[in-house]
Amino acid sequence: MSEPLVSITNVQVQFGGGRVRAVDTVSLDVGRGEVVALVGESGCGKTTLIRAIIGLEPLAHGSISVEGKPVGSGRGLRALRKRVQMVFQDPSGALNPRHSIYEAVAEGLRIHKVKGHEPTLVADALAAAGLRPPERYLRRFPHELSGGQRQRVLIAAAMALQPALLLADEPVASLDASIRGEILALMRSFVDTQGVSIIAVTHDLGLAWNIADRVAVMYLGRIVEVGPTEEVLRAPKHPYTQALLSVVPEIEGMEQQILVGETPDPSRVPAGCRFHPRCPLVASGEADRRGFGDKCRGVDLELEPEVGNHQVACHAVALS
Amino acid sequence: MSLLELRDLHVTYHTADGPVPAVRGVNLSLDTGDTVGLAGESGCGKSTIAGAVLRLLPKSTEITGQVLLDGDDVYQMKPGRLRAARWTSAAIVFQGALHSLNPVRCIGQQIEEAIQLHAPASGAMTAGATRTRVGDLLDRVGIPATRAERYPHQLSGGQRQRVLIALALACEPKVLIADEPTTALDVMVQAQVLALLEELQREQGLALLFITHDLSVLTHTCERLAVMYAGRIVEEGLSREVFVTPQHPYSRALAAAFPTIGDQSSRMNPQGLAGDPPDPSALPTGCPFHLRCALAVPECTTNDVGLRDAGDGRRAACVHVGAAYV
Repeated sequence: MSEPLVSITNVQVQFGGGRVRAVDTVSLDVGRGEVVALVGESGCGKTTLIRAIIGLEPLAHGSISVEGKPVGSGRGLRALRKRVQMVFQDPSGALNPRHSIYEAVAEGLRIHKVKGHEPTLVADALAAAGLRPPERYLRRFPHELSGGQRQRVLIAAAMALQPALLLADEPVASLDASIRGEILALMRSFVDTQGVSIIAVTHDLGLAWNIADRVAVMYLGRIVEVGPTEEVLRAPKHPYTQALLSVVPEIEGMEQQILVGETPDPSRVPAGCRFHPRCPLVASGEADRRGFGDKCRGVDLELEPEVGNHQVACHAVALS
Repeated sequence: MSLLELRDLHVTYHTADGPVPAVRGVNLSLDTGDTVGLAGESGCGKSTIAGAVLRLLPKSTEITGQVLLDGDDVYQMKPGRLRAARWTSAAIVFQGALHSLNPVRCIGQQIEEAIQLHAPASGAMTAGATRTRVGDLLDRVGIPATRAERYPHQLSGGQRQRVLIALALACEPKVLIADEPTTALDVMVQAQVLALLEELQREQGLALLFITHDLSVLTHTCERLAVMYAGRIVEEGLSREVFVTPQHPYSRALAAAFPTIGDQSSRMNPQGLAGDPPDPSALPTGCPFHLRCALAVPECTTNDVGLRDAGDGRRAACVHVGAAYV
């Protein structure tokens, strides 16, 4: 494999003076033109991780590099933020209500001093994001557009800078169902035509199935399973991934494993495997019967290769 | 006689920008033990229906047709009768638990208030009995009774949604209307809340009207399904069938929007609908869906077809569907 676009190595992000490890020793590479879906429940650290990639969270340990250059603070940050663009969940909140659509797209071009004829660049970006003809949208304001159109404006503003990486935080969660597919298709088309890479943070496994090459499942600050989308979603190995998939209503013939309790709290990470208090294997006594229950309760573990590039952090999988 | 029946319901909001017809002729009925899902996108009128059932819409709203609760027309009820019908005949689980609960009162008090205001006069309870009932209700939705003293901000999102369900059940309603009860929740918590609703519905024989944009959730929870578009039902039938073999092009698009994991046809192939949901104040002529419809024929621009029989209890409002429904 050629050099990855993004290289995340043993990254830790802490809050509250180290009391909370929102991201706890995560490593992940993303290749050029690759779409990775980062899935998990609220509080699992997925949003913190992508904020760290764009230099918004200081790293307590580890390193992140984009296009071979380390993400840090100071001078490199502006150059990084041209190459890495973000698309947020709520397009209404991300657009300035008093700026026209033209301004919304042109602002980034000015900040990053992109060469070229500004009106042409703006119009081309809007057209590429499916807002055609662009002249119809230039003078309008965000409140005059629908939710789907606003998300297209944000994507246009991001793609106008020709980034190498798009970070998308729940890009379709606030959109209507019928609009969802169009926006995902648009994002995927930028991957296929311009070779941009995408890291999409989502709780929506259907999104991963629709556009992602690989899926990384996060639980309490750590990636517990990562691999090609088809393998992770069709043959999940980690009990947490299995439980997540079992509650997706679209999947039939899978017995629901509804985990009890609330979304776990990153300020109180359990000892041993961090998933063990909610793990069906431990709760049913199967882990003890098979002789690794004590490991689940006492030994923390990281990702281990299962087959090829499918990795899982689970004692049951490591021993089988 | 049905527990809840909507007869040719029309709801028009009067706004500064003119009238907005949000619901345009909806017929629906629920009996004991029925579970009916109402699906559609923002602006299709589904939440307006929830408000219309209990007469919760603004005074200026124009409502025609009938809403019958246990055979009684809600819009003919005197204030006293209406107060008794609210929460005892039908109750609503609202979306957005954070905004529906009063932040400065503990959750126990809020449930007590509902009991004191709406419980039938004959069964007026003492303060002690009310408190016991609150404890039972919280227990029923999986929250320890000792948490009655907590304030909404001290609970997690899933717990707050459970409190709203307990609140809705306070006066043992026969009809429960759930308006997007799980939309803001994490997948695992959503599964917990759905399982709870299903269990309560089964045990208490509630008639459940479940409103959401997520067709796949409805298919899982409801026996029957009605898909709404631009203020009307455009397809209805058994959930499984509507989801798997939708007859109306809009239901088809809505079903395809939620991919089946493992289905190769949707792998790397997200499916959506071109265009935006219609603006209820400026609907196109003819079939309101024709501008976004891949199957539109010239007739669709003029003929606003009603629901037609599509066989086996299925009905769909599309010129391509079977014989005209009589």
